[in-house]
Amino acid sequence: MSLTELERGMRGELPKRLSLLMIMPTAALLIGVITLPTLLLLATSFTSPELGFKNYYKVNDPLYILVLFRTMIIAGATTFLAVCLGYPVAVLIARSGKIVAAVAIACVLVPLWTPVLIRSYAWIIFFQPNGLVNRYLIESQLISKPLRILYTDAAVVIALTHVMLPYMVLPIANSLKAISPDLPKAAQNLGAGAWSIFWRITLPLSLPGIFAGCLMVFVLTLGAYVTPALLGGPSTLMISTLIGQQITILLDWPFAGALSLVLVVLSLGITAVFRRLLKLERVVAYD
Amino acid sequence: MQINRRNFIAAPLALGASSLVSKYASAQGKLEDTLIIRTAGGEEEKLMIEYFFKPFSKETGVNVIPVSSSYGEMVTKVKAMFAAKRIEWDIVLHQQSDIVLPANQDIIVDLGKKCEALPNVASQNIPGACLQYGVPYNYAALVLTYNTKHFGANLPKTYADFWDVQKFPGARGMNNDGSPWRNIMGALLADGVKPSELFPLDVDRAFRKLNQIKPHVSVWWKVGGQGVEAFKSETVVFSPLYTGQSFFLKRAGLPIDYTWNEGLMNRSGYSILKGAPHPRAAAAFLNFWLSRSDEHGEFMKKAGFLTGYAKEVTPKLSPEEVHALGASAAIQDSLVKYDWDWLEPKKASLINDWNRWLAS
Repeated sequence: MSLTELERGMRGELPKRLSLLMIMPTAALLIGVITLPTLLLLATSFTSPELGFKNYYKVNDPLYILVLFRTMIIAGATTFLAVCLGYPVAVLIARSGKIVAAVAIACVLVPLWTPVLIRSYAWIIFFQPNGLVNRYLIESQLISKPLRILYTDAAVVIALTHVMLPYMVLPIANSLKAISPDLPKAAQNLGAGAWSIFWRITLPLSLPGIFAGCLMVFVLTLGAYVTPALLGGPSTLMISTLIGQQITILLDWPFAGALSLVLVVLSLGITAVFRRLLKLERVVAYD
Repeated sequence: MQINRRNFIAAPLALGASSLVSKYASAQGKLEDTLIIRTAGGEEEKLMIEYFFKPFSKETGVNVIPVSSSYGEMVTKVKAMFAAKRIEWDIVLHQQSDIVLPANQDIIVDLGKKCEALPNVASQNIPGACLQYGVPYNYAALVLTYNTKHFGANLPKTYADFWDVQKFPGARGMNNDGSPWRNIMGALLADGVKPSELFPLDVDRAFRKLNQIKPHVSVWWKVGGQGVEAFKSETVVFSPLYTGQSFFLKRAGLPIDYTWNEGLMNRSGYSILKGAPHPRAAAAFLNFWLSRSDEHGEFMKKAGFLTGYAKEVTPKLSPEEVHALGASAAIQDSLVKYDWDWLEPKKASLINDWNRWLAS
């Protein structure tokens, strides 16, 4: 059903033409500075050094398949950890008073404001064999020899989760805030317990936030570059590292374009599957 | 390359240098107002500004704008500049191996067989100062660096020692910075290949040898700073490291030392990009860079590497400093060299082999 101009006005919406005009600068910037150049790079993957799919045959190499797979695993692990750690924080932000919520949001956002290099070196100092974590564990006699955390996949996943948390927490908190407080009350009246309310009302209604958060964390992690380079072990090769090598060391931009397109297609595919699994349309249509 | 020891009289030559710049400028036309130079950033950039960029501005009135970027960023940006036919930088700081590479000579300015475009090359008589398409910026190397406290009296000297975990126990570090041919060369040296017989590289043999050391390497550093941190925290006690960084660790009073023996050459140089926006100022700066003995001496001591001004500097370096900086012909001549004609076309496949080996 389409709305008439009047109905839009009554809902506080701007006329269509005016809103189109207002998004023009942003659209022009995005298209001119990001979309077009990206498409041009991707196009060269089909045209250079010759017309065809030669660059894509090169992607079909055990190394790239393995690294793509590993990239997915690390992104998946980071997303999972971020949901588990982020959901309770989101609940805290959604249910608390202004001050507590503001402090919680600030804590979650701090890693985003810290430059990635400084963050990574901080983790190095934290994780290294005689670093804080190991010294504490040894002094409290939980372990006798330092754990090897630094330069492993675990270090990368922990550090990525740390910085990705805001992308998970904020959308979940928003969707939690949007749940009408009447719903849990009504459920309580009908005899539902706390767990039942959570599983059958709060969690399903916050799914759009979880979905948005997971999607952002997953896609952003797929492209992680600096953190795996500094905290990962030799086998923590992620696809962006290989794309970076093609761009900056080997100067094979068409092949880098091919690898990037494969990554984009994979992320889109996973997004589609994810959407299907969660049957989001049904969940979102509660309005 | 030879580095001769010559008597050096600073004052008259410094004067001579400045008059040459102005002479050069008047011969070629007026210098432009600004000059854009790529730097490696950090402390090194600060020192360059203090010892060379500011004095150059003072003498010529040219405003120097340093642009710091990583090596990869620089290479990528230069490629993009030429693709867009819009050159934004004047002087690039890159590997000397890139300067002599024929493929690159389409994009950098030919200074003449004897660098006639830079009068100081002849007048200052600096050995090795002319690379035709550029001038040397520094003479660094990848050197075996170790913790002296850990090894005590029995200090390692060679790549064979690096591989010998029985005689020299302790956690290793290795470079993983996009130049795997250096790891391959180290492995072959450890396996008994003579430095002069390294090329063509026997890649299979090298990877078999690398398999032996892999379990003993705790840090594969991507950037030098990581290597420095690993030594500081004693996460590693033995690793190849670039001289600037090893020098820094040693000077900071840590029990770290390094050997020039089997050091792998790593030299960089300045070139002017073809189509540079300020070509006359760029040439004037390169000329200026090949003068000023005093500043080079101070700069070397602080930056931790031998600069392109590879001859006796004033104030004099102490014998320890000469050794630490590798400022002698004997040390520089002993460094392990590369065969870039062989290496250049194989870079892509070597990097692929390396990634595959690391990932397995």
